[in-house]
Amino acid sequence: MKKAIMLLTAVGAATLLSACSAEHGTTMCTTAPQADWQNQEAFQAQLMAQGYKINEFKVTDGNCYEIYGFNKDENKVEIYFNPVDGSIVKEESH
Amino acid sequence: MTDNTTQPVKNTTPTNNHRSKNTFSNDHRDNNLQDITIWDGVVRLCHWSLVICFIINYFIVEPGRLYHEIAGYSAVFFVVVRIIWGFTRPPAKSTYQDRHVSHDISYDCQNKSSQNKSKDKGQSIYQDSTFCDSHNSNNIGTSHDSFYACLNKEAPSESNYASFRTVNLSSQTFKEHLQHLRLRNVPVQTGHNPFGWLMIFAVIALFFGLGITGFLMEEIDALFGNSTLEWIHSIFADVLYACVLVHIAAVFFVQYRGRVQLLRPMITGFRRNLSQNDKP
Repeated sequence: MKKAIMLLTAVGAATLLSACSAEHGTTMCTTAPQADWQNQEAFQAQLMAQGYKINEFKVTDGNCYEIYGFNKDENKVEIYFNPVDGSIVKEESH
Repeated sequence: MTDNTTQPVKNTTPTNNHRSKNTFSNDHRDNNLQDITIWDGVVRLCHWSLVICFIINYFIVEPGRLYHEIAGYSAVFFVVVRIIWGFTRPPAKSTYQDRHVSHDISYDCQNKSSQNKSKDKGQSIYQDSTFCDSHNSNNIGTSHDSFYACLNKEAPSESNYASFRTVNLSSQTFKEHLQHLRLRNVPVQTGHNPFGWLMIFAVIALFFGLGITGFLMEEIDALFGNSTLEWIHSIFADVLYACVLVHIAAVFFVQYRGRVQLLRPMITGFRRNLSQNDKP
């Protein structure tokens, strides 16, 4: 019985811990206030002018402008931009 | 009924307090202990592979990356294997026959006068649909105590608990399982209890849902990064995680409350047959 309770506690603690670690993967792009960020529409228009095709545009929890779409070579890309200066923080190809 | 049912439970309490939760090895009636096959290798492989895939995808790799896809499709693969296994695995005939024999014996032990009805009334194993239909709930306690007392000596070696043909989700089976928990005596000869089957179907549906939404997001260009799909995908994943937590809690609860080994059969395949009720 004591063993069962100990096991339960251990499992509970382990799951809680692992639940917390799930938050670590967030990509952070800026700490600047939203007032300093580029206009979202203008930013997207600028990307499309560069040849990107945007499927999905998001503002992430990590203060990024994120796009899912295709670059000018028609490759699938997921890109995180710094919303202040528009630089690429992280790019993933799929 | 109350006299008959509470007696064996009371008598086993002292031994239970002293024995080790996982091995049950401290039980002094060792000569009556034997291993019963509960889960075959395919079931265990699928189960733990899904565990690994889930942990990888929910906690370790980033969504959308290659390893995420590999783990996700692997999970779907193992679910498919499990489903095929559930449909094709024959409910081993010998088990049914053995069980008939056991029922007869159980009534022989307790009550010779009801011999001729034993096949209809003696059953209380909820995974066995053919036996559960006409079960009389008032009879649960007495019948299963004596039934398993005798079954301990007549345990069939073959198990077929993985087969979907053993699924029975009638309200009767739920009541029966709750009764087992109330009596603190879940029979050793059981696979999934009805709540367990519900969990399995939920998990199967969730893995498919995850696999399908994931596939659409990644492989269909027009849906690449689709926020609705992504939302559904993440909700499925969160619900699956909730299921995992419920599952883990339920396993430990039923194992403790029902005095039945659940963890060990899923790791080794075997459950120690505890002779709790082997009284004359």
